[in-house]
Amino acid sequence: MSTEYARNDWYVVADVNQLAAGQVVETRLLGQPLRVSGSPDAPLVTTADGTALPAQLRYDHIWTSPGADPRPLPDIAEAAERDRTFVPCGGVRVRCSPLRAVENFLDIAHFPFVHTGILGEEPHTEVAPYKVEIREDVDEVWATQIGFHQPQAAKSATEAIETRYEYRVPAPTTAVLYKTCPPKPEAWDVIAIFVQPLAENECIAWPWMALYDEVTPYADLVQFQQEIFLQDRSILENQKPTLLPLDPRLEIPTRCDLTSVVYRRWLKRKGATYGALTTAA
Amino acid sequence: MIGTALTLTGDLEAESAIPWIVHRGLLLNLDGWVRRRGAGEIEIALAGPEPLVAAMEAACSLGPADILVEHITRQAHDFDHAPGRFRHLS
Repeated sequence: MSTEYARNDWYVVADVNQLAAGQVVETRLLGQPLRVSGSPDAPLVTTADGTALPAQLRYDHIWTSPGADPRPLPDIAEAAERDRTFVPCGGVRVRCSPLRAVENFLDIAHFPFVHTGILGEEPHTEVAPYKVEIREDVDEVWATQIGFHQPQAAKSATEAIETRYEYRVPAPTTAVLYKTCPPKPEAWDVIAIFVQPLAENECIAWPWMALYDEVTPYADLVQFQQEIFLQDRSILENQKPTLLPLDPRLEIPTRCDLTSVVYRRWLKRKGATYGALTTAA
Repeated sequence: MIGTALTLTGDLEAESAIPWIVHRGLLLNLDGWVRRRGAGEIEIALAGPEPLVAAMEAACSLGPADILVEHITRQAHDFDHAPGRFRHLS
């Protein structure tokens, strides 16, 4: 286990709705207990001994970093587009490695089998070849040119469509999905997952959406995304090994798994091994 | 016989690299060989069904935990004769 790299990233520890409701959130980060209090505009994050950590409100969530020299919090430009609907979906607690949660978010091959009738359906199970790369200029993983048949690509979708996807991983526990916006095909809907590592084998996934959808009630948007993440949870909690293998002897990745392969290679290169298994699995 | 050549470059000096690649080639029931071409380069020649060759390429682009593959290139490889079961060509 190494927290050396992980300590200098930013993590979500609460969402804006919790602080707006006056809650004091007792939680954990990288195995250490934390308290989140204050207001959305002036959040306060403290450790068990009362030490205050840096805290900021971004993307409708409260972020903190326990490191002495944190890297910049990933920029999501669409957050500045005020005609979008911003949806913090609440946290889903999962007994799995935080890296496993991100990897699952990046995996499109499981859609027809786990999210049947929503994000995929048989017989449309084939994943066409797509492009994955580590963009050296920004030090991010990008998967592009992804197309997939989806019965209900979003809450706003009224029929099955061929959805276009792009994935971006700007930090080990932050991933962003850009996908076809059903009511506005020239634009991308943005769905991000911010993963809070409670420990190496337990996390909270905080989905967040920035959509062009002025019609669907907020509660329905949250329920749609929560349903998808709850479907994923049972899969994630039964994966063996629990940690994400960086030396997967028993797994046989195929072309459709290339995003996962490149994500793991990127983690290995950075030494971002909190939640990873670095011996042969 | 036309097969596939993969060239790996990066931090590949760990002794685990070649045995790991051989293990993976045999697991995928491929024919061919692997050999070192220097401290930072490994050459692999493969014959077998395309989905399994693609799986080998995906696996090798990650490799074992103690190596780091920076780049992987793929091109056609002309085997002079039937390559036989996948092995280390020293």
